Amino acid sequence: MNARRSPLPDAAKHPDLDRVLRDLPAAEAEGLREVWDAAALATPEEVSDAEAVTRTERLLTALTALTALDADGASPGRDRHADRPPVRGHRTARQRLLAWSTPFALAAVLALVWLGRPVAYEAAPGERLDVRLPDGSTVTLNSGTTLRRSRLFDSPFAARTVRLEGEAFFDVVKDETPFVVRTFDARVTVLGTEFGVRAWTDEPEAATTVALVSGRVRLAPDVHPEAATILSPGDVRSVEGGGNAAGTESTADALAWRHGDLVYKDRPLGVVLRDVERRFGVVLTPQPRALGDQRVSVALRAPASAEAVVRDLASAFGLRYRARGDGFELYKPPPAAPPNR
Amino acid sequence: MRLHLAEPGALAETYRTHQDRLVRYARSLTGDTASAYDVVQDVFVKLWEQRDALTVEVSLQALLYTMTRNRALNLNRRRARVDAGAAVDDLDGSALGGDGTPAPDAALHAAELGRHLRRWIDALPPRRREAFRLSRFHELSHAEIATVMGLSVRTVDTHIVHALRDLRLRLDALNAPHQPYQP
Repeated sequence: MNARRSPLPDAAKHPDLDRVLRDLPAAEAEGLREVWDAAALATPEEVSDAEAVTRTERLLTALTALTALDADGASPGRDRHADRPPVRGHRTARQRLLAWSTPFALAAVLALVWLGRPVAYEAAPGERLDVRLPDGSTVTLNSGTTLRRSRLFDSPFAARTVRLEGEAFFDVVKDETPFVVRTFDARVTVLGTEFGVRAWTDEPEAATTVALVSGRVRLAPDVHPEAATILSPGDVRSVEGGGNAAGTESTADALAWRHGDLVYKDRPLGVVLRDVERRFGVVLTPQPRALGDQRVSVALRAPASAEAVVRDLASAFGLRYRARGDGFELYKPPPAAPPNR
Repeated sequence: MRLHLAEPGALAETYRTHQDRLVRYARSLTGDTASAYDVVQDVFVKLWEQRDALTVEVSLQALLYTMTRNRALNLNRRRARVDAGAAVDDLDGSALGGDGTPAPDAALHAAELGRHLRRWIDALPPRRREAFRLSRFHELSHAEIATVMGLSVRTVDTHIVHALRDLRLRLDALNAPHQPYQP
């Protein structure tokens, strides 16, 4: 370890020292340079915990390997030797050692792989899931949402970071370590507060939206982190360029899903349909597709079924619908035909 | 500057090259070796997590020291909450320092002089001590120290000169016992 360290600099190799001493009277500069050289004797004691170093090196190697595996799409647990016949009988000492150490090495690698894999919470379509995180913060996941956290979450040396795909409401326990929600396009940083994050990637004008109930929250888009905004209670903000212009929505509306309501102001119909799909686990198809871009404002209080929603949407926007396999198709009535429902 | 940490082995290699000095720096801030190793490990895991968004402004070295410093000080704050107000600041060397009574002999053994110097450095004001250590023992340039400690380069210059003057005075006082040290 120490062999890799370059020797301590003497003054000659230290341009900053030369620069500051140059401004001083020569005698004093000389005296200070002597002290500088003498201070080499006070070099702090070496640290050498080879075990700690090895542990970290393994962890880092495993991290790199994990990413490579993910990129290849290969599964890390696959046994490549499964088809090799078992070797019995005469083994060299080296083979015996290998045979002994392999299970331990494998266990260590698996442990690291396990440590590197996040813990995932998933709310299936049609359900809402309440999650309690190790730091005591609680999260409500809307239908179809996945929340991931590191296994080291809230360990003394790790930040409180979660990754959100979908929509969730957070009640974060106050702590000096910031709580960070990462989404596909932004990073939401908080200390202790209640807020909702909407980060669906599969809807029109997708952009992370934050609705703040209490406390303070910082929303930083990944593309322009410097364009971060600080939210105050009552604010609903989207990552810039997203569909939900600031101030068009109240936090109550943005968080209506927590009570099973569907509330939208001037949002594309496609956004509403995607929410209903996730809520009830159905497939809704606007026909033609462009129908999904039509902007709508609608409030549906705790609808009981997908059909109830589709019926209300159809009557509100002059559309018609028909059942289709795993869901419904919404379409414009043919202009000539009189409505017959 | 972009880092290519995704290359196989690059991250572990970076760790191997820098861990020694980073752990020593972390130890000087946290006061114990075990947590220093943990802090540095956390720095590299963070580095890995942020490998795509990473921008290095002054130098990789400055970035590593900055991350180490932030985490170590964070850890100290957490600990301070646990056992209210334990002074971690002076743990790293003064405890090791000798008996405190310099031998009046003119010919100082190098090891003895080293002990004195170490104790004098420990006795510097905390920020000055940190700047001096980073400069003398960690080979950081003043620009890097300024980045790491959130200071201006001028302030770093001042810290270094004042630290050297202080050590010079103590050394003179040691060599001439009749002129006691007067800061």
